[in-house]
Amino acid sequence: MEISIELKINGRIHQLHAAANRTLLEVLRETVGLTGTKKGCGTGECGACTVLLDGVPVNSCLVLALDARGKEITTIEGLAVNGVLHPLQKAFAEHGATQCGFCTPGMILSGKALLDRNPKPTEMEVRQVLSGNLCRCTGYLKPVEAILAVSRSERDTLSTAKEASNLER
Amino acid sequence: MSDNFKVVGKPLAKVDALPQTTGEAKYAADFMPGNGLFGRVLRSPLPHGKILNIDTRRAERLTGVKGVITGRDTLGVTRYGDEMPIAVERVRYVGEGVAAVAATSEDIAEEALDLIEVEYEPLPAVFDPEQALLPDAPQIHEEWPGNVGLHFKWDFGDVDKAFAASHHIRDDRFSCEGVSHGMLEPHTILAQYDSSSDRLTVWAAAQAPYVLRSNLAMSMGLPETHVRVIKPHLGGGFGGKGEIFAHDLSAALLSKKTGLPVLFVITREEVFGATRQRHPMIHYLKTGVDKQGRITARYCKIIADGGAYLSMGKVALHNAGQFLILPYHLPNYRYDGFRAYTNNSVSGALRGFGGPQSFFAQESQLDMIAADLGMDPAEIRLRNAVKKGYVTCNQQRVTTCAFSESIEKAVQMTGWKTKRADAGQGRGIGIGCNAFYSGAAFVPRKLPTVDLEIQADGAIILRTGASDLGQGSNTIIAQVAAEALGVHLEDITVALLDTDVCPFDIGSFSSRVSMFVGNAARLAGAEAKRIILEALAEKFEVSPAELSISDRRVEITGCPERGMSFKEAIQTGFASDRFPIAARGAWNSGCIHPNWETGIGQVTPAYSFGSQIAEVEVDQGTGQVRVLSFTAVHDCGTPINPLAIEGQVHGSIAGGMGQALTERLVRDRGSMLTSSFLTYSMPTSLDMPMEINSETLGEPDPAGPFGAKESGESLQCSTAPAIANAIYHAVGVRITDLPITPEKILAALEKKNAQAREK
Repeated sequence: MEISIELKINGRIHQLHAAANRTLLEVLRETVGLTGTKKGCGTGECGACTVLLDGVPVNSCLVLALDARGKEITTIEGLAVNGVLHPLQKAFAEHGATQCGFCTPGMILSGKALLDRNPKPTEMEVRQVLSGNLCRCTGYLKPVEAILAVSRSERDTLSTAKEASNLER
Repeated sequence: MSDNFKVVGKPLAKVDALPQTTGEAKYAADFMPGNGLFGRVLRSPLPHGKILNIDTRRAERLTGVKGVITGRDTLGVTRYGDEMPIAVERVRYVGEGVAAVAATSEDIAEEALDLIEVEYEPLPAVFDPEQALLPDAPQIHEEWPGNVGLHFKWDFGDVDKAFAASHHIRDDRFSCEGVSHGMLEPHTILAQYDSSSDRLTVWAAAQAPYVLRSNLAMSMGLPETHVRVIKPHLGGGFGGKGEIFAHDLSAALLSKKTGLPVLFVITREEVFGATRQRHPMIHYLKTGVDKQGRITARYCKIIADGGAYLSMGKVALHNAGQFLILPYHLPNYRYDGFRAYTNNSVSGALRGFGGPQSFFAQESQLDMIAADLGMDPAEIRLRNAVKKGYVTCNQQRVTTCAFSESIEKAVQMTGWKTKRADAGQGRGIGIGCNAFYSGAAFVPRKLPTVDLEIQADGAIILRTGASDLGQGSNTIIAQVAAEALGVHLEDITVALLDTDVCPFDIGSFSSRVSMFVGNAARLAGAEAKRIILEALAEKFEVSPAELSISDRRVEITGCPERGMSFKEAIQTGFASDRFPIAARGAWNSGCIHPNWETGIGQVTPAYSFGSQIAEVEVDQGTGQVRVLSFTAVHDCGTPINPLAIEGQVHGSIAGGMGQALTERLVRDRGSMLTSSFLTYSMPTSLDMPMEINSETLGEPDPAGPFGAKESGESLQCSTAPAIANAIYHAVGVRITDLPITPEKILAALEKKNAQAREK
């Protein structure tokens, strides 16, 4: 039976009709047409379908679309703002952190959630959050490097800004 | 050497990297249209049985089901070697496809599978390859008595005489279990049949799009040109997406039957149990050496578990024999390679393709010999290492070779000598080496081809049939073409792979694309340059020899003021009716298809060589192994893209670590027990060593595009033996069967300690 669901995806409200047993992954891909979220297993083991719910990474294959009502859903398509890429997106490309790219959206979202709550993670903390995102191509080192590079450059930007404001004072 | 290059040798980002980070990169499943149907394959629950009857009527009546097919609906050719994409009379493994449905939702398709009634007559089954070769074993194929699918018997030199004269001989058994590809994107195909033109279009996760085209055409009874394969972004292959499977043909048949697009994305369970795996192999390896540790003779009997069908078994068994011949001097060699049919799922191609098993055996045994002789493992390798110009006992010529240098470099990078001296404290260091084809001449019929098209605004389009699986081959091919033409990588757009418009390539396997398609790209770039320079020479009234294109500039010798940008030259130098400028490059490797029976043939234009060193820590209380660091030194000739090579090194080490320590496909009477990522344990970010150091070295190879050699599968061949050898160094136990699980280490430690107490 189809029911109507209101979802807030990447800042936009979507009025949708979907069966009650549809997962968030299925609704994102098949109903909304946001195919950047990938299905690697459908059983919550690979992390390719990672999206953010109120900033927290979840396997969207394990979340019913119904249960995502009232939450801010962020998918990989929602990361770039007005065509300006998120620093993690640029860093993944430049550091060779993507190979086949199938795990990439999930990894970037896991990385974003981490940096949002902890802008200065250690390498082990980065590895910890990526441990739910399986990858067969990269051996993880370059994705870790990309996330750390963003963390460093944002720290640099912050500290430069701080120094500048100190000077002004 | 690479200082002269403008594009080759640079660590450039992949041409398709950015769309992969934004979600814009489209994979086959992402092309599903709104009216598309969802397909599912019904699979055999039996390891061996006769199909007596299939009744699909109840499934057909289910609301939402639009079509049901069985193997009897196959059109045209139904068999590939010994295998039918959809079984007709007999099933030989659990998971073999017997019927398929297309429905308006995945749930309905799933439900419909339960409504198909298949009547089977169970037949006796066999799961162990050695048992399968015994006289009273159940027979799996009538055409192959004794379940001997393949038997290669090679003999070079005088093995018996050399063994008799050997100072020391070791005779050991090694084994490797089945391993899965573990690519993140499951096998996917979207098929749309158009009845008015009798044409089939598929969007497929295909490692070899032209092979899929040919196989689909045969099975659909269509001319090849009536099948169009579009290969969009592909989520990893590793050898697993190069053949036609039940879901491929089902998608095509069901689209024809229903008139609608049909999508098959197989489940993760199906990927593990119903596609392909790395050949499990048993090596009985006997090697003789002289007093100095130089190898005098080798005999190897391999028993490979082929599973139910042939697949790419010939190549795997050939390679397993071939990779015992290099990278060391071996004057006398005898090989008995058997591939047994069993009722397990089918063994096929997987990164390294016969190499990892044989390198595990020979590299482990070389360390055992070194220990017997009291030699350093690096030293015994240096004493046996082949050099440039070496011709193997089966007449393979080694063109360029920096193998010894790779050992020396790895030793120097790791502080090997100091660390080796410090043995047995739970920490250890071990070495493993490799040699690999820069592409193999298994399919000599047609040449790899690259097309370049230059349009009136100066835009350059590159078309290739080579499938980028994520490893970045589109980038490598475009870098080579850019270098040859004299432009930058970003000046070239690599077209979407579409067999209607992209020229032939046989596919991405045997680490061939850089060498084979790279050379085609080099020739295409050079041809485009020739055409452009001729036209410009006419226009500017100079001779073509006075013109040059480099670094996206056109220069006229002696007239720097008349130089201009490449785009400007194209826009001003050509009359509008001369566009598009088209150039084609096709490359003939001159290699010889191997003779399976004798093992002779120059299989590859060039061998790559490499050495890897692992440092591990073994917890003697739990048997847990932690890989602390990894060093890889690789002779890949000219490195076309160091960033991509590092990516290959890291990924290979991750895959090799998995095979060394945790990954194994476990079955119970043919039913896959490890059919999820939870039960099949691939390395995660937390398992990877904190440090991976990699270096490339070696001279440009004369055959390679700008001197490049392979940089793919070799890297995974020596990872597991380096780890096994490091474990031995750490705790003094030698595990000869992969994976090296904590249980095996604990059992071996217990045995070792008991023996020590007895003394």
